[in-house]
This record gives sequence, C-alpha cells and structure tokens, in this order.
Amino acid sequence: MKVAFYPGCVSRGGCPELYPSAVKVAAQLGLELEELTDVGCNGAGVLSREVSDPINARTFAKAEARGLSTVMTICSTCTGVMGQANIKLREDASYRERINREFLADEGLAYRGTVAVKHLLWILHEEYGLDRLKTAVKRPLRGVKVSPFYGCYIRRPDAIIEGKPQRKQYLERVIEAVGAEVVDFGGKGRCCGFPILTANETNSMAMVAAHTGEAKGKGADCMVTPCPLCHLNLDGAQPKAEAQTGAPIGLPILHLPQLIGLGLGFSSEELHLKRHIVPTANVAEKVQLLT
Amino acid sequence: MVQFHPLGIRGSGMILTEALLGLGGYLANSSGERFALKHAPAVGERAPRDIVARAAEEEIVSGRAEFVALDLRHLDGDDLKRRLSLTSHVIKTQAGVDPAKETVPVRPVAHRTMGGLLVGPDGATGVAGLFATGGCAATGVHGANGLGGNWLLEALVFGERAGLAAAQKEPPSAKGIEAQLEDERRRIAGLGDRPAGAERAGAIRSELGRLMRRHVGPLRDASGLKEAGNKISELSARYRQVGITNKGQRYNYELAAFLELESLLTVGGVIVAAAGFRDESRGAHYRQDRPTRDDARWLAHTVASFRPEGPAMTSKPVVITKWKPEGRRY
Amino acid sequence: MQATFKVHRYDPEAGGKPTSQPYTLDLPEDATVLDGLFKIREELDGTLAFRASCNRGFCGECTLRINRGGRLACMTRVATAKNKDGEITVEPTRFVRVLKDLVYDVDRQLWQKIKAVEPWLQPNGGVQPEHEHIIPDEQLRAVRNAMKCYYCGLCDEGCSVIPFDNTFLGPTALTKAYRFIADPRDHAQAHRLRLVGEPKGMWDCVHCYEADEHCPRGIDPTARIIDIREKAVAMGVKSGATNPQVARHYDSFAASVKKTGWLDEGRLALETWGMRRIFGLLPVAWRAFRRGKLPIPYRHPKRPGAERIRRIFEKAERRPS
Repeated sequence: MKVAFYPGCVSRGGCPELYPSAVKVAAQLGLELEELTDVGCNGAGVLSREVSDPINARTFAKAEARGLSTVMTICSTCTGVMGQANIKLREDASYRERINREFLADEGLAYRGTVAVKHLLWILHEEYGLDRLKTAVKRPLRGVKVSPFYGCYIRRPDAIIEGKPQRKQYLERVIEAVGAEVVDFGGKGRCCGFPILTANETNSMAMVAAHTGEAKGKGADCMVTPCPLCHLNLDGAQPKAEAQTGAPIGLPILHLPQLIGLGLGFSSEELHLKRHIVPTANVAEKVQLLT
Repeated sequence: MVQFHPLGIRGSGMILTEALLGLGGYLANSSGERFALKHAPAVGERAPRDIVARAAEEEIVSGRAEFVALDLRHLDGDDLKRRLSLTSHVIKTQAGVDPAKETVPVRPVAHRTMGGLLVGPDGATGVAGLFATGGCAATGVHGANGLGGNWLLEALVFGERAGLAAAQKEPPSAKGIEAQLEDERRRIAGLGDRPAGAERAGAIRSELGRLMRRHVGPLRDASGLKEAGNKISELSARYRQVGITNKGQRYNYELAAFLELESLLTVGGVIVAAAGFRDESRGAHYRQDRPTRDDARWLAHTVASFRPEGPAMTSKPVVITKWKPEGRRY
Repeated sequence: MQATFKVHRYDPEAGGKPTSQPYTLDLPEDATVLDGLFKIREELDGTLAFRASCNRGFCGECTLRINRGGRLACMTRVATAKNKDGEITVEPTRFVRVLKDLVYDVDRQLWQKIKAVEPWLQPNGGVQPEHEHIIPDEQLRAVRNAMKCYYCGLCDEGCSVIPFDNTFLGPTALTKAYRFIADPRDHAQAHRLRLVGEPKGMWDCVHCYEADEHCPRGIDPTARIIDIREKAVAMGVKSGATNPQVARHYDSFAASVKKTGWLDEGRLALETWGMRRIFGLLPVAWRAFRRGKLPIPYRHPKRPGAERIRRIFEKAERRPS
C-alpha cells in the first residue's frame, strides 16, 4: 500500500534518529512511502490557524495531486494539528473554498477534501493489519518491559478519534505485537510538558519527572512514544527533570519505529539508538541477548 | 396562588420553554388528538399557560395516562437546534428523546407562585424593617395568572424600589428583636438535643410533595382540599417527632433540611387554606366544584394571617382603574 | 439494584484523618449518584456533607470525583458507574482544601481565579447609554456559548497543569476571560490579553484538550484558550511584561517557517532565550552534540516550496481577522 509521507520538522531536526528509523521500518514492512518534499511545517499547535490552515490545505492538495488519499505522519502533534485542520477543511465547504481561492489558486492547487491524516500507529492497525505486523516480527522482544506514552494530540480532542475509541489502545497492542510486555501506568495519556518548556520550565520538568518516574517505578525497561516532541522532553530534558526533583530516573525513551524496528530484527546502530540523551544501552543489550 | 407549567419533561420534571409551542409544536393525547383545540379553538397550544396546563392535566386524569405528548417532529430540526440549543440539549439528555423522531413525554408541574408576603409598593412588609421583593412577595402584578417574563421584570422594578427604600430607612433598633433572636438561637441549638425520633424529615417532605400535587394541583375541589388540610396537620404532628442525628455546627445539611420542612408545612397549609377560601375559579386556580369565575364576590386578593390554630383568611379588593375584566375566549 | 458507596469523610475541625466510609444502598435502576448521596444523608447518616442544587445537570454544584474522575453527581447513573463488585468511590475534587466530607473550598479554587481576569464588561465609552446596543446574532453566538459556563469546575479538575501547579489560572477562569475578549461590546481587549498573558495565564496552558473532554456544556475551554492566544498574536500582544520569552518563541518559530518552510530548532532555542541565557543552554547543546543530535556544521536548509510557504504566510498575516 502507498501513502503520502509527511515527516514533519523534528524527525530531521531535534530527533534525527526518527526519520531514518521510520523509513527503514516502512520499507521492511512493504509500506510504500511517497514523501511530500515541498510542503511546510503544519504549525505544531504554535502558529495561529489563520496561517497554518492554508499551509496544511496546501499539503493535502499536494497529496491529492499525486493521487494519494492518506497522509502518513510519524508525530502525534502533526497528526493532531493536521487532523484537526483537515476536519475543518473537509466539513466546512465555504471555508475550504475561500482557502483554495485566496492561497492555493495562484499555484494551480485546490484541496477537494479527500485526504485522511493518519499516524503510522493508526495505519498499522487500520490498513496494514496487526496480524501482518506479527508475522513480520523476526525477533520477538520477550521479556522487554515497555510503557506506552501517547502524546495528547493523538488522543484528543474527541474529533481526532473519528469514532474509533480503540485508537486509545493501539500503542499497547503494538507493544504486544512485537512480543514485548506492556507496563501500564496512569500517565500514559497525559501531557509530557513539552508545550510549556518555554513558558514554564518548572511545570514542564515536573511533568517529565512524574510520568517517567511512574513508569520506571512500575518496572518498565523503557518507554515508547509516537511523538518526537514528547521525546524531546521525556528524553532530551530528562536530566534536567532529574536535577529539578533531585531524584534519578534513567528511563530510556524509544520512538515507535525504533521499537518496531528492534522487533523486525534491525540492530541498535541501524536504528540510531545511541542518538538519545538518556542512554539506551540497557535496552539494546537486553534485546541483543534475545538473538 | 401556584402556577403550573404544562411542559414538565418525564423523569426530572424540568420545564421546557413554551417557545416550543410558540414555534408551532403540538400537544397530543394518547389518541393523537390535539386536545388544546377543544379548550382554545382559535389558538390551540398557544393559549395562556393555565389553560394549556389544565387541558393537559384533564387528559392525563381522564385518560389514566402519565404524560401527554409534545410533538416537535414537524418543525425544522436545524432551526430548533439553532434557536433553542439548550432546550434541544435538555430534551435529549434529560428525556432521552430525539425530538426529530419521537414525541416528548410531558406533564404539568408546579412552577412558581403568584403571591407571597404582602408588601407595599416599596417592598415593605408588616414587620418593621423587613422588606420583601421578587418571587416571595405579593405585589399584585401577576394577578391569578402570571405571564412569562414578568417575574424578571417584577424583580428588576420592585427590587430596585425595595432596595432604595430599605437603604433610606433607618433600621429599627435591634433591641426590640434581640430577645426573639436569642430565643430562636437557643431553639435551634436545642434541636440537636432532641432524642432520635421514629420519623425522618425526608419521608415527611416526600409525602407533603405528593399530597400537594394530588389535591392542590391544576384541578382542585372542596373535598380534596379538606383532605389536604387534614393531612398537613397530621404531617405537622409527625414533624414534631423528627430527631436530629447530626449535632455538628458546620455544614449541617440535616438541620437545614429540618428547618426548611417546617416552612414547607406552613406554606403548604396557607396554600390549601387559600384554595379552599376562594370558592370560585380564576386563572391558575381551578375548582372543579366551582368552575366559573365570580367577579361579584371574588374580584379580590386573598390574605392569610398567622394564627396558632391555622391561617385566618380575609380578602382585599382589587383596584380596577383602566382595564376591566373580560371573558377569556381563545 | 444494590450499590456500595465508598464516601470520603473528613472534618478538619474535628481533627483526625480523612477516611473512606462504605454505605450499601438499595436504589432504583435509574438512580444517579446524587440520589444515592441524598438517600445516605436522609436514611443512613445525617452527618454527611455534600453540595447539590438543581439535581438536573443545570447548575454545576455537585461536581465530585466519582471513581477517580471528575463528574456531576446528578448526571452520573449508579448502574453504569458501579464496578463489578457494585462499588462506587465518591471523593471531593483534588488540590482544593476540604471544608467537610465532600464540600470543598470553591471560593479559593474557582472564584478567586475568575475574579483575577476582571470578569465584568468594560465598554470604555464605546457604548451609548441612551439606546440599546444591538449585536448581530452571528457575532454574539460564540459569546453566548461561553456564557453557558456554570462554574462546575470540571475542566479545572481534569486539567493537566493544575495537579502540578495550582497557581495556574486554569480553563474556567481563562474561558471567562474569553467571554469578555470575544464580546463586541467590550473595548479592553489588549488590556485583557496582556493580563492573561502574564505567567500562570494562557501561555501556561499545554493545550492537551482535557478541558474539552470534561466540559459538560460543550464550551470547549481548550479551544477558547487557543482562540485568545491567537487573538493575542493577531493584536501583537503575545505575552505579558514578565514572560517575554513566550513572544520571542512565537516570533522565532514563525520566522524560520516563513524563511525556510520548516522549523529551525537551533535558532528557536537561541532566539527564545537570547544571549543572556546562552550559558544555561550550553549543557543541553553539549549533550546533544555528544549524542550526534547536533550536526556540526549546523545547517538548516530551505526546503523546496519555501517560497510558496512564505507567500502564504505573508498573505495570511495581512488578512484582516
């Protein structure tokens, strides 16, 4: 199956380990990605919608122009921001027409409202098939304890779920599909604190410490997240969070494609597991011993 | 006098706005008839509130049904949702009905009073220094059938007058009532010392509510009112047997409910006495044994005064200046 | 139907610790949690304290934590709330001083925060008292939606930030701010946006959309907070006086997307915090460099289509909102 691929900004910026992992894993699974190379940042919940809605409409129009009906993301925030924009553009014809007229027409583009925005996590369940994923797993991650951390934008608001409450359990099912053990915890659907890193670092670090601390306390070897912005906080700012609370944490954070990649048999080098702030050596070794 | 509203929804009894009837909604009995047309052939469901409430009550009693049907299916659903979004939400969540597809079960419910404490035009009551305004006061502006929106207007107009009058008046000396206050304080404090009784306030309150609705609802008669009066005396006697288990001084809701129940019994007794005293029908007050309006004897306000043996009833003539009473034909 | 209510009991004046007291009741099938609480108080235990008023989901008084989630007790059915052992846990909301049992200090939690946003119309001479000020229905619709708020506090109860920092203004108060900022009769918008743009105000919100999930009136407080943030950006009032880094963050983000089509995180960090805080950023930069996250030389190339993105950006910014 072929999808339009929207990699976002951070997967090649602050989390450069994410983009190559995602591409490798997609290729291995037989998921054909056609990257949208000439589209812009969706705004990430920072930029005002009067600016980001036209930019996103253009992204969707570009996908349509290539004859593709699904735009795949690898970031919860991209999923939520673009998903919400898409819902509005699809449902409000006069709004879509105005955006087309004022912003896309001079490029010869027009969004017709036929695109769906889906995270790789959703595509694996809804289009690819979890059973198919299970058969592709060459190295089941038996005994590896993984806590799921979703990222707010892939769970809320309710419109994003598009009437599929099972989407709020997808990450656990993927952890199980690759043979690992789910370590459930209360913070899995809560906020990592990244959006207020600038406005209120203290609160942001408190959130990082609370969620990683809780998962670690419940025995997780690592945490997996489908959002690189969450990753920047949970991994990148983990040392700062430890310093603020005065309590060590040391919980490695994996990107979703990295976890799947380990199950498919890729090495930790191929998945750039050394490019994390919190060392992933323990998890890498545990996986290595399974081979 | 108590006003009954025809559109209390099934379950919570929450009142739906008459605007639903104003926008063209129908009321039907179990045979599907628009019964309001029998009582108001020209305007049907848009007749005054008391007429529609009474019509619905008659259908329920004679048809031995629990509800009548509010039919909104023929109205523009989107228009309804836009104009009355909160009401649409209430119908869905409280009655569990989609008004576009089904009828809404409704019945008449007690809404508010037209009377209350007798006050002058500036809200002064018979007790020096005590002013009353709004729903608890009787200014006479509602007559026997208050119109929608007029209570808000009354509160704004008379509330301002009462406030200004109270502000200008010298408060009476507290010395006069200090002794009474001290008695009341001691009485309330002593309630906690009463032995735990066999009676519970909640049960008495439920019984009072049921008996008022049955005998002092939209349709009344002499024997029902007598029965109600007797029952209230009985409940008042039982009330004196209620014990207070909560001895606390803070957030003592049991004590608060107990004190409120005394007032409910008192006011209930006044309503029953007044309904028995006025042996005619007028506006919201309908006596099945006296169905016609008697302007010769009853162009008057009823006044109840406290007596230990029960309210003493007198009347005060209504002052007619410009608008003479006419027949009610709809 | 039988159910066991495990109710939080606590009297701070009597001393002692909070406890959970079980009450087993027989209730009708369609009973609500509030029906159960009334039955407990009237028949089993007159000392129980809880707040309630309309009993119909219309006043917001009976906000409680039922099974560890914020709910209105009168709108929660016992049949669906009880677990497989027939139990329901009833507690007051979190982070607020308990006055007694299930009654908590609403004044401190809600009213003081609402008062802080100046919750009164400020027409500032823009409205003539001699005649009515008619607002077209379309304009007032959004305001009326926000006016439906009855201060139940469920959005604050579900907020992601408040458990970590109860000095955050919170969605209830910020929705109240929106109600006036969006009101065409109010002429103090810039002042209000600056007021709620200060620390602990709207920029402290993580826009996790929990508030929207919790509001029983469909007001969508998170979306309202985003609305006033966007209004602030459009009016050039991006943050308060004491948190200028918020404004710098927005400007830098917008500038790099405008220039290159995508976000330049390195530039973002530098421009947000400025040269004064560069030393604070050095350990982060060093760690990133050592892990191979910070490429040297640091490059942030323009993407194809960047020109188009820039044109869209400029056109959108020029458009009157």
